Amino acid sequence: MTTVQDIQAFLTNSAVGVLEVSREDVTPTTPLVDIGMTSFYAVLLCGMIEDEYEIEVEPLLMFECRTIAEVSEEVLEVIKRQK
Amino acid sequence: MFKRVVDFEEANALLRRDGMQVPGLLAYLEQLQRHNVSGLDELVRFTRLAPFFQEGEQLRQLRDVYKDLLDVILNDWSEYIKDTIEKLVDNLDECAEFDLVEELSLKVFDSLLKPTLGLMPADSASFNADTIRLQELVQPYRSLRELKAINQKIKRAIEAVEDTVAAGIVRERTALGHLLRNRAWPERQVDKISIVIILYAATAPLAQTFTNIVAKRLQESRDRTVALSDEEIAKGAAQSYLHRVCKDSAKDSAYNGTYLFDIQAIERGGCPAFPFGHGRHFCVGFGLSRFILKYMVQQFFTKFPTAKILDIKHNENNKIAYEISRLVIRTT
Ligand code: HEM
Ligand code: HEM
Repeated sequence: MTTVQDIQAFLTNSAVGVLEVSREDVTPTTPLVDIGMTSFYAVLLCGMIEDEYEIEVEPLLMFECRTIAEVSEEVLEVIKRQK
Repeated sequence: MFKRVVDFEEANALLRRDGMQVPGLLAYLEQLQRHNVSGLDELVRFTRLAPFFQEGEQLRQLRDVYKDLLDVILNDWSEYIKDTIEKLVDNLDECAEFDLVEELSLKVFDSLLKPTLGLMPADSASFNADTIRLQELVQPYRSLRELKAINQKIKRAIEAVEDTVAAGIVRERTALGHLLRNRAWPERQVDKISIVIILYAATAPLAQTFTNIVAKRLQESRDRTVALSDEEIAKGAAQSYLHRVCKDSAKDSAYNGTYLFDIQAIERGGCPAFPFGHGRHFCVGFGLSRFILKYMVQQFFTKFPTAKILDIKHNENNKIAYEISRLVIRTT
């Protein structure tokens, strides 16, 4: 079973990778816009989430949720719904 | 995140700015590719050949080709278009009820536009499903999964047309026939086919606009047999927005950002000011659209002067055009 912690770890790694920020700057409660989230990176990150968990998520999610913690909660909900 | 413009004077001034450009879809897709996203090649090629997403020299070169294709249609096909419209209207059942969208508006694609463009795919219905809503699909917040699905649709559509070219059934006088035989640029056959498919996809608002105009006439209690005016066309025109991004050379320009110019709201003298766009991106299909709309509206109301609306439904999910999805009419 996937947990919120798993998703948080995956998202943190992915965000550090694509946004080119240092790991210290990314905590579960850092506002995503503060680390450079734009519509482009939203699409890219959502693509990574979709591949990792084999679900469908809308890039708008990244703007409706403010932090990695919030996105992770939402992704877990989607996993439960779609699996 | 974006500015919605509704005032004519403001829109006019903004649209004239040098830095005001169409959305940079190409740059966006290429950026995704640089981040190792695969499966977007066909979409990237399409974007390069679509005037909607180009500026500068590439836009000039493309518009030159697109306008030439429309000249071919208007010069060589106007009698065919009139005959076909007459047949389509004649085939409508005189005493019954019918959905105008299904029975007439949507028929312009298969009966009118495809033959003139030279698009004769074996499976016409799935070709339509793959192409006619392309514009709607290319929005920035589409997920990668959806972008890749669009890429597949484009690929299928191109293959379907390549088969007809290989089979030798594309007539010379069609838009595609003309492009394949008489134009040097673009060089590759696949790019020529793509241009004609893009042109076909761009015709989507024609059917919607026809339905809107008929619905408006049926709702208003005035003479229905008069010729269609340009003002009525403007009021029925389906597109919702002109979408622009301002990139003034001064990085800190207060104008820089994303704009949606609300076509339905921006009026001048009580009439939409830019129903077919503005300036260097003005609709290349305007002349053809006007020709078809005038004749179709005239034929329809000559045959059904006393038609009434029984049911009308609007598609709430279409964010880029005012679309009536169902217009049930009783003809007597
Ligand atoms: C109601 C519909 C639409 C809305 C509300 C909308 C909104 C936006 C917004 C807010 C942005 C800026 C995104 C960012 O960088 O943070 C944007 C950019 C963009 N839009 Fe739209 N859009 C709409 C329809 C469309 C359509 C129909 C297309 C394509 C046909 C499109 C293509 C693009 C592209 C390619 C960009 C990137 C712009 C650039 O960086 O040059 N959009 N849009
Ligand atoms: C009544 C129906 C139509 C309406 C309301 C309409 C509306 C528009 C609008 C508003 C634009 C400007 C888009 C922008 O600047 O962002 C446009 C562009 C365009 N239209 Fe139409 N259109 C219609 C029919 C057609 C048809 C039938 C064709 C082709 C046969 C066509 C081909 C194009 C093309 C190729 C462009 C891109 C021009 C460019 O960006 O340089 N349109 N149309």
